[in-house]
Amino acid sequence: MTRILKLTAGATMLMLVGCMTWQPTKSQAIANNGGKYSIQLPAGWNVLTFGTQQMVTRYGMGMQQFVVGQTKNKGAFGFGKEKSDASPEMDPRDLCTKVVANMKIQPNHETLEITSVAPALLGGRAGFRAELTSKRTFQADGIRYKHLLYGVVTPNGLYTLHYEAPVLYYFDKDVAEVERSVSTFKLM
Amino acid sequence: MTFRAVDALRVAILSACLSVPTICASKAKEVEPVAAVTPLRVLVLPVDFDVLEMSASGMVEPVPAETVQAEEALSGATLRVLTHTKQFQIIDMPVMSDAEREVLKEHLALYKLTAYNAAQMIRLGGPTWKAKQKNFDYSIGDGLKFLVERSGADAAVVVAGAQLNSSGGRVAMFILLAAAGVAIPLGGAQGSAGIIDLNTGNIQWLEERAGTKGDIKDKKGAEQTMMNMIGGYPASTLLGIKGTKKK
Amino acid sequence: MIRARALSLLAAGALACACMPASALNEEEQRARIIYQADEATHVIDELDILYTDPVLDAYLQGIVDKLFPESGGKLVIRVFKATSFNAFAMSNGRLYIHTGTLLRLKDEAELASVLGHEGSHVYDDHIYRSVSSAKITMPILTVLGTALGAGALGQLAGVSSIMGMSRAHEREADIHGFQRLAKAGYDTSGATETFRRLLRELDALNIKQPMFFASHPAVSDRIANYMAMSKQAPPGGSRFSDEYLIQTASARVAALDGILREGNGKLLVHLLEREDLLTTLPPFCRFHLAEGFRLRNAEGDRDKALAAYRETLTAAPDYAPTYAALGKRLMHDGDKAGALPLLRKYLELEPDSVEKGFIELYITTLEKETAQ
Repeated sequence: MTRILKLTAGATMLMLVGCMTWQPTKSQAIANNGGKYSIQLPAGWNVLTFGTQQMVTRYGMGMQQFVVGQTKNKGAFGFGKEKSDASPEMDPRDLCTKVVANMKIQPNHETLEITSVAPALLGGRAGFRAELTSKRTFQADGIRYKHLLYGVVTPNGLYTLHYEAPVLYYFDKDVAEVERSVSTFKLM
Repeated sequence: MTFRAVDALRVAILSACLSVPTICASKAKEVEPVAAVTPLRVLVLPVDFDVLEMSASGMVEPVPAETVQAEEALSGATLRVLTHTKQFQIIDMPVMSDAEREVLKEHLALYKLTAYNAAQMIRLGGPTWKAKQKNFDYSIGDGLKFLVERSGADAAVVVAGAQLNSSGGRVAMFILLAAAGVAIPLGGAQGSAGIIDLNTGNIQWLEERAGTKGDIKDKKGAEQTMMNMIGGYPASTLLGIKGTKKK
Repeated sequence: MIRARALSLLAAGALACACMPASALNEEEQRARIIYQADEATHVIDELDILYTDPVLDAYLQGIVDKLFPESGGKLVIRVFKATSFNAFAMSNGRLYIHTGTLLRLKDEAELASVLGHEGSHVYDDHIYRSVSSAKITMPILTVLGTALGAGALGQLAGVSSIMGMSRAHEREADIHGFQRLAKAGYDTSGATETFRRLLRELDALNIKQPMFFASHPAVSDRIANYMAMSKQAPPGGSRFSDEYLIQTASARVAALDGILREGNGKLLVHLLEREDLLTTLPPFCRFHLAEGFRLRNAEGDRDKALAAYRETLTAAPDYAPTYAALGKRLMHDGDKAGALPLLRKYLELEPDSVEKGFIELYITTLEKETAQ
């Protein structure tokens, strides 16, 4: 997940200097061949694609975003000497714990707490669906956030779909749209 | 007062390599205020503006005394400019309970995040984000409706921003490195003014500008800055709304 | 051409350095800025859910700070961070912060006082201002607080606190003055030595080269030697107040243990609970954390050790729900369906609103089907 941090930072920089181009999301499912998955992203949003990761937002990635992506199983969790691998044999509940532990390293996610986690089928495979809360620590504005997180591991890698938005107004507004998008997720 | 150091960083980056429509350089169009049929009844929330200083090594720190001066000057200027436009009726802030103040605080924090994101995406996101100018659907939700009932205001005006000054050391470094062909950002300013519909939470108007007019810590500079920002209401460079001239 | 450009850049840099004053501000302005930033940081910390809130614990810790610094008149205020690492730091405005992870690792009040005496001395000896004014550290951007949570990059609070460590001279001074206060307050001064010995064992066991607490501190082994030398000069005896310490800090210490478990650090759990024998200082249900430590560490023999520890926890703390879930899942994966089912049912009985209710219900449904066949 530190890769996500680097991607977010990289995207921010490139976007800030006008070197990156957003694309509108398409009305049909789009395949990501590198990540071996396809998904129909929420209509009317904008997307930045970095290899196997897609960052989708309706309002701006500094405040609301839906990140869909695949990372390699090797070294998927932790950093430095503490890295460990994801494995398709992992219990989905343990997978959730490890994915969330990774997320907590990212800025603004240090206060992440799981409020519920349940089994879920993702692309036909047993994974998890978790709901989480957090408060922004960046610039200490303390804005409350809600998160929806799906995860599954296959021999091809670790797949996560993560939606986050402020509790006030934004999260509930688009969560149904996000869940619809998740339901179209397919593994290739 | 909130410390918006990341805004300062972004201002520094923007001032170095931004090729935005010359917000900094453009003069405010001289637009005669057009009296609205019914002025918008507004609460003017406390200005949130940070004055920061960047040292020679690129580190940023707040300058407390100048921040207070800037906020006081900009607050006064905001009221005068709003009155001058004849488009607004300024309503006194109602008394609030501690719980209501906490609610307002989170909504304001969300407003600033939203306004900042909206400005960034529209200015820098490329063609696909330009559509937001015509379909500006940013909101902070209707949690501040209690202010309508309490005060009779329809909307709230929020002014926020940051100014990043360079220390003497950094200016010296800039000059020397410029001679060697190396550019470093010196600093800059960024501010926004928004009008929030208190019934719905929709941000019904937003302007964002880089650069200030004169010294914002004094009355004249603050007034020129606010004239540039909100004096042409409903004109907005961010939303692509042109002002109308009185015949 | 390239060589000329490189030379001109070097010259420009050298000239720039020669022209730049360490600081153009007078002392009053510089102090005002440092305090302002510290106050902002304090405000930020108070706003976010990163403090461990327990007014009784805060009052207990404040009592120790006031005992060590009786002249402070309320200037030094202590709060507890929800963070699992061994760390404590002082802000230039007199705020002291100690991690729940530190409270977990300490065994009595004397050890705690050695940490607080050191940190408070940074404030009293004006180390933060002295470091900034001599340009030994720069004032960084006051943003992410990941440092204090034990995970992210250091440095964001460095300009207004001791979080990254001060110079070696300042650290030694804080060791000496903190030690003097420890002795004057009537504590057993060997507490300081034991604290650092325990830290050194942890660093060795987990193969950590640069601990957070001592980013630029003198090496831990040097500090142990210094404290031992000072202890020899100090009067013998002194109080430890271990019972009082363990009672007052119990909840915070368990919270730290829960945090380490959430981080999945099995090695650390086993080290602290078994090798450092902290289990005897914690409530009986913490044997569950040892079991989980074995499970997560998964070294040779750990599977059997985990199983044994789960069963011991069931005996020692029969109402502690997580044991039932963990042991039930373990038996389920081992193929003991009949053994797993009642445990998982018992878990939901004890925790009907569990965060992972969905998973447990799925396991129960699956096991019911399989055992009925």
